[in-house]
Amino acid sequence: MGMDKIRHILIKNFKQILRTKVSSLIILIGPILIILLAGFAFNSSGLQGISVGMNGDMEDRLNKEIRDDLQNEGLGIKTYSNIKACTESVKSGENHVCLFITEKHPPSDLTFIDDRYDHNVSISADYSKTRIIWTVLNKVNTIIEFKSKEITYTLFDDLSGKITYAINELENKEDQIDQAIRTAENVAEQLEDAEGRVGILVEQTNNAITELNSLEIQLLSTVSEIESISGQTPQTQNMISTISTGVGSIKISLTNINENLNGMGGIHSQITYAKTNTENLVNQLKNIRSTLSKISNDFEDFKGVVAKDLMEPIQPEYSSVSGEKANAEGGLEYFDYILPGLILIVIMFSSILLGSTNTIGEKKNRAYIRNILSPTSTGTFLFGSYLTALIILSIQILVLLIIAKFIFFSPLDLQGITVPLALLLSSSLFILIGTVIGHIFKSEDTTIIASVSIGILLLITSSMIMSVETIPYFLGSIVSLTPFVLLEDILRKLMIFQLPLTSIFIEAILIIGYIVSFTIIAVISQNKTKYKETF
Amino acid sequence: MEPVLEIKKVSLSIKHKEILDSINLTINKNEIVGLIGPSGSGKSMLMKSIMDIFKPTEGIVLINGKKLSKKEIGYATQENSIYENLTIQENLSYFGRLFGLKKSEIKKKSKEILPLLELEANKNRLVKHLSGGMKSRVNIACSLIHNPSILLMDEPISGLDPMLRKNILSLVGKIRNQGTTILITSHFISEIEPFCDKIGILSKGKLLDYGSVKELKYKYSKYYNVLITANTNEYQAIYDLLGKKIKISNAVIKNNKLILQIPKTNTINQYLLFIPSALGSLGERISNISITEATLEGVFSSLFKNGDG
Repeated sequence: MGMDKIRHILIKNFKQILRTKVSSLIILIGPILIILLAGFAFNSSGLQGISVGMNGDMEDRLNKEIRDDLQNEGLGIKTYSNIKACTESVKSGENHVCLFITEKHPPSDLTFIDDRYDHNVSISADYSKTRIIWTVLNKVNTIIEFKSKEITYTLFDDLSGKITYAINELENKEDQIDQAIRTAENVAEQLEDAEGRVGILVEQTNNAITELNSLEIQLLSTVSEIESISGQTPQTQNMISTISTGVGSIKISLTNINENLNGMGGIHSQITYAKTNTENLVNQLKNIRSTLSKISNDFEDFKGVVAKDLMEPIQPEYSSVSGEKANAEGGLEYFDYILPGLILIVIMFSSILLGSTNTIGEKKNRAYIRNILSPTSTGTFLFGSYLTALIILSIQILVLLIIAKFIFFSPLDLQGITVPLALLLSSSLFILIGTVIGHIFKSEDTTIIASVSIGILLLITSSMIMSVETIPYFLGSIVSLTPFVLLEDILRKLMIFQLPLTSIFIEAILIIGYIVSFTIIAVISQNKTKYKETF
Repeated sequence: MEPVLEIKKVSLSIKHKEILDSINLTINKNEIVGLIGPSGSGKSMLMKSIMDIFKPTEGIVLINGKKLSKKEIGYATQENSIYENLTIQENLSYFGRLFGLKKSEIKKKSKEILPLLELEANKNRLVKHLSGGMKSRVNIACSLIHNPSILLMDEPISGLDPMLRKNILSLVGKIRNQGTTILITSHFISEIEPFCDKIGILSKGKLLDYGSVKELKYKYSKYYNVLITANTNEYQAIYDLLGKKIKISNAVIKNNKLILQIPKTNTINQYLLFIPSALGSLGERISNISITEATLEGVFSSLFKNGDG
């Protein structure tokens, strides 16, 4: 009979809702609007409706290229003759950003390599438009950074070409130096040989001189002996004369030989000097060769380096921890990452408002007294009201998921039992919170204000608005236990990472604890207040 | 006499304020009992104590000799306790289900109630599209759907125009004829008087008296009302002349009639003979003269002259 009563409470509730066109429209259209707006806002990479003010210098290549890139990204461009007018247009809301690109004067030599070098880029933005400004600035900065890198690559490519030319030239010069070293070494060897030969010749000449001197002495002795022999004969006289002449010739020869010997000594010294110099030259050439080799080798290290490596020496690779799935199905969009939070926001506000407005609406209904005077338990009405809200929520969530899946093509896997179970937990908890609010407050106005306030409080303390990790530890530890944060964590784990139920065990236990607590509070508050509003 | 409702020494205090003080009241089967009293006298609180909305601090309420059973009581509130966005039949079905009736029982009871309350033709219309009088009848119908032994009607005709009041009160009699005992509160004393078998008079949470209308009138009314119709210019002279011969407790001119309150020292017939003769030649100019017993309202007024609840 209890279930039959609940069935009739449900029928009564739905008839009442459906016969109130405004409320039924809000129930269905509300979440559709939210998901469509959020979906189109976050799922679109285009920036339609964003306009950038620029200087209209059509002659300037950099200006033209950036303008074209911005237009290709879907941004609107308006041109201004001076930066003041452009900045004023941002203040008046005509443009979101003012981007002025002007050439530097005088230009540096690098402009001969790339004429886009040496520009001043001035960006003025309206930071009060907090939700959009960083998206716009990021887009503008991305385009400018890309252009800046393009210019740097051009410059580096030029530099790289020159380094390659230098390396090739050095390699050629190394061969020539090697050839010179070899030649110098041959010269040194030949000089050394000549030095030896001249030395031998000097020695032999010295020996000849010694022998000649000895011969001269012997001849002179012979002459003396002959002269001492009495009686010189003409023959003897001739002999002496001949010998004397011979001695004279020997003396002359010795003089000549000595002169030659002195000359040969000078030659020897010169050969020795030349040899030493040649050896020094070889050593110097070898040092030069070694230095050139080192320089060449050093340049060789840069030969394979491309501009990207030099400009971006560390190139991090980003991948999502939900990686495999993302890769397999073409990647998760920003919209997909916020979808769990978005669904939770809809569930939270819808559930709290449904729970509270159903409760206060029923309490304020004149027919309420007939309900509570009937032999039907408080729990039956509570369960009936909870089921009504849950069915409406289920329809809303279904609409949300259908839109996410078939309009925004979200690749999130929403099948299986885990996600519906988590959504059921979320809805149940927030409906019960709403029910308690509905019982505590006395008027519809204050109930709605309280519901919205609690919803906003839970939302503000969630990671959708601020990071729980960055607030002070004490507050953070409290905030991390709030229903929204716990449920957001559960949905994120289940919807994005596809983790098993065991991964959300603690969070689920806490949420079930909340549900049990709020059920008890709802029953107590209903029993305490049921007659107060009616009488 | 079979008692349906027995209120035995019921007292009620809320926040140390005494609301009801040792009320004793018994209502027998098929009786229509009116509960009258000034505002704040405790009429509604007594009804709520009967309904167990406010638990009596002392005493006991018995329905058919047993402790309260919600199924035994029908409660028609002052404001219509019905869902505006449901049809008459849907309201009946819903509340019937809450009282544990089966579909067939609801169908059967609806067939009895709807014609009785003249709602049959509109049973599939949304309540919000009905007139005020029809809504009041739907409210009563919903109170009767579970076939209660006693129907409590809290100010059922307040806020209605005279025609609707008459219409609703005529239904009270019909409901009684179907076998339902009725306890009704109203401040339209003169209008409920003809329908009530007994009247309870409440003041400051106490039941001052309880009895049949006739008993109460006899007990509390010490005056007759003399209604004289004449030229309004003559009323002062009539009053002065009669005042010299009989004691006039009160005199008012209402609807071009002079109403004089005179003590019950003689019978009505004696007065009807005496008054014209006492007026002499002035009596010839009177177009009509009638004498009535005091109404319940008169009793009520005499009891609460100072508006003291």
